[in-house]
Amino acid sequence: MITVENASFTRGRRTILRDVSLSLGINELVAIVGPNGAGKTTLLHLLTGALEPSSGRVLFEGMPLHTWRKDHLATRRAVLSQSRNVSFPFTVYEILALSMPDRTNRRHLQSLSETALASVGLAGFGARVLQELSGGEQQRVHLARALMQLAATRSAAPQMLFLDEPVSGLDLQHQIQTMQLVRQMTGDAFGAIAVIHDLNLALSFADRVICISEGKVACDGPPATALTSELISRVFKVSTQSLPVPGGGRVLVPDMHPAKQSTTTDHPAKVIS
Amino acid sequence: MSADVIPFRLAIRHPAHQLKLKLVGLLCLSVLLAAASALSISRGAVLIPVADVIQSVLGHGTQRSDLIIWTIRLPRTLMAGGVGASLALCGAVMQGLFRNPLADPGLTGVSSGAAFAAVATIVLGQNAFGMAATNWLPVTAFTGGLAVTLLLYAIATRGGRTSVTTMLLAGIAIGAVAAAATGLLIFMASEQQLREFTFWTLGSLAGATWHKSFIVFVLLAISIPLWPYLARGLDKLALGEADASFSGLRVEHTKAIAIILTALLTGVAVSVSGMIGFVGLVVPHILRLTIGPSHGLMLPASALLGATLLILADTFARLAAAPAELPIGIITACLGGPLFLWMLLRDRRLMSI
Repeated sequence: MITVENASFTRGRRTILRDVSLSLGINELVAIVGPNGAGKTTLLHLLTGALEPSSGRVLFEGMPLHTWRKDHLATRRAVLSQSRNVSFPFTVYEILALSMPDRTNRRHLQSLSETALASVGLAGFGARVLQELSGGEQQRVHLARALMQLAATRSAAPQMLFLDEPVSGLDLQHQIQTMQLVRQMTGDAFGAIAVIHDLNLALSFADRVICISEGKVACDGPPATALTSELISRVFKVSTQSLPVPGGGRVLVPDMHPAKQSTTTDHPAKVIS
Repeated sequence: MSADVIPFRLAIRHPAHQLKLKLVGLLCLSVLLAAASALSISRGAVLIPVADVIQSVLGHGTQRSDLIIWTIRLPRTLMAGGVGASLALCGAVMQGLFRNPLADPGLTGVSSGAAFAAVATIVLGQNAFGMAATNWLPVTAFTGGLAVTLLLYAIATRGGRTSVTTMLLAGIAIGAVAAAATGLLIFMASEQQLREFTFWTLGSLAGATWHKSFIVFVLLAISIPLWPYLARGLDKLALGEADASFSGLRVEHTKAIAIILTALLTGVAVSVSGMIGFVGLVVPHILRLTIGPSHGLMLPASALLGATLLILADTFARLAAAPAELPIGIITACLGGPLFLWMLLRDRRLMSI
């Protein structure tokens, strides 16, 4: 359980987040969406403790995040961040071992590694050097590392997984695979929070969508009610249609050529040119 | 490359073989070190057969070989080993800390601080206190090196967080100022003082004594219990500081230990032997390309290989122009430079520079 109380974040003169209050449970998959520069990643940084709020506070299990011991915190939550370059040529096995608690049994480590690699579709990649893999594969290795960090200490205590744009740079198959994987793990004292750009992925997989716009929470709720066409056109400046999908659910289709429509109504003068 | 055809370089790093191959690797390096030591003790102005060396070390030698070995060769070989181990170890730690394979022990400002203190001792000290001031050179060089490191550390730390990038850049700035001050003192120096300083910057183990090698080894020994802790920390830091912290590392603690340890070890090494370049840069490189970047194996292996290489370089320095001695810095640079270039070109794709 993580609680944000009236958190603001300013960098220089720019206020990136303004008085945000949220409470994120441990049994839900929460998607954080919003336009570029809205403050999504900053919010995630506050939630993971990578940044401290300029004012307000962030509590993890009732305790301010920065008072947690780093090794204790690592058993309760894992983070897939956006920076994924590793400075030395480690093998995939070695990378996976980096997030393990200090004294992990060697055999246990190996079996956890195989399970984690298989779950991200990289079985048999363990002995490869990370830098020799493609960008998308490297990203999935880091996802496996985050999953393994939590699996190593899976106990009764609830755990959370934070993902900063987990599917950016992945092909369609692995975008869906990744979201399915996170979806499957969620629930049963396991919560996931993901910054996502693709609204349809948020719509299909999330239990709850939080939309950030200009440093504030613009919407917060189940995807079907939160992600309305009205909200999307207000926040993203794009008009969308919500179409039903055969077999249930719906899909958002953005209007790809808005200029033709809007100019005729809003700016008649421009049509002449 | 399929999973079951793994080249040796990777096989040694596979978790299934790790422990066994790790021990074999360290054992090989130890044997190499022992051989280099024996060679170094037996060769010199007077050649003593290796068998006699072993006899003498075990306490059954002749008076003549005992004298040469116990008063001249042994302290010198030990000091070469200790200094080489310290420099290579610090190189490995610095490269891990700065996440850059081009880092070397001098990055914490130790070298520039020590060089300035050394020239100040030689020029100002001798002018004020006479020739005896030079005896204090190891102490002043050590103090100068440590002072600059602590200054850099203080500059780069704000609100309990140390920025290694700031430290690196501030190190360049302070290094420039120190170089200017060093230059000014060189301008003021006499011919004799200039020569003395030049030799110091090229490095030499000619001043080896039991006392000095003892200091080097004590510090090295004290650092050993910290190696496993540092190794885990440096491995995690390869992910970047934020991710290292997410994986449970106390990042600031690790950085502080790494910086202070390298400042002390490099400071002592520089103070007893002058500036010896390239050992700290090249040794971790050779190892990373053969045994992989994991610091658990890298730190002890660096110490062993660094000791071996510097002992061999020193032996060569004593023999090449006998009875004169070449400055050892010339040899390490002549070997290290081309070797480094070769490795760089050979394994370009594996390094992110």
